[in-house]
Amino acid sequence: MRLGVVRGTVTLNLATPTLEGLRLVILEPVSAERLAAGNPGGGKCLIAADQLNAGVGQMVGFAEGRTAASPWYPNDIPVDAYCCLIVENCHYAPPAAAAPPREAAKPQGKKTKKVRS
Amino acid sequence: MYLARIDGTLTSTVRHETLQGFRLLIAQRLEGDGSDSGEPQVIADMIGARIGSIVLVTTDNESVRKASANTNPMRLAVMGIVDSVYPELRGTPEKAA
Repeated sequence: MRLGVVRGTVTLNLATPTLEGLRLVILEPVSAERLAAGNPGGGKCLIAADQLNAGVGQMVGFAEGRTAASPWYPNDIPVDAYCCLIVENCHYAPPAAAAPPREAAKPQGKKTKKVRS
Repeated sequence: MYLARIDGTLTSTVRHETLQGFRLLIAQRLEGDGSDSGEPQVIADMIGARIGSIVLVTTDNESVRKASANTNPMRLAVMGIVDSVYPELRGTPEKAA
């Protein structure tokens, strides 16, 4: 489950019967840097099903993949992102001296040919 | 399954009915060398991990479903608290006493 901020809602005019009446929200997933900075967001927006009536600006936790359709078990519905919870309070304290991401560890500049020994 | 570091905790009143009673943590997936990988994830904890712990996380919905209901959409759950990894993970905080 990832964290995301509700940025808007989507209404469908014509929908597949299984999606009728389902509330859809636009979510902006939260990246580690933005969460630590207290300004959640930063990911690629996606659409999620929502039964909790999350409001615009609220941070939610959303399930992804096949399990996002679990709430309708044993029925199958074509949903792959689902709002599971509305975040009330979030205490986030990553270690200050966290290891740098892999990209940063790579040497910058021109690519050099690898010499096999 | 993968290793993750617990970076935070989360409270929520409004949540899916099957998630009631679960302790939720914010975890950061780790690479083999201990560096961060990907975005923070919300995971269910039934063991009692705390901030700074390195944990083993499962991506199978089954464990959470068995603990609650078949309609539980949660997938990530703490399966164990890591005692040691060899070779040692880089950048991990000192092990909590």
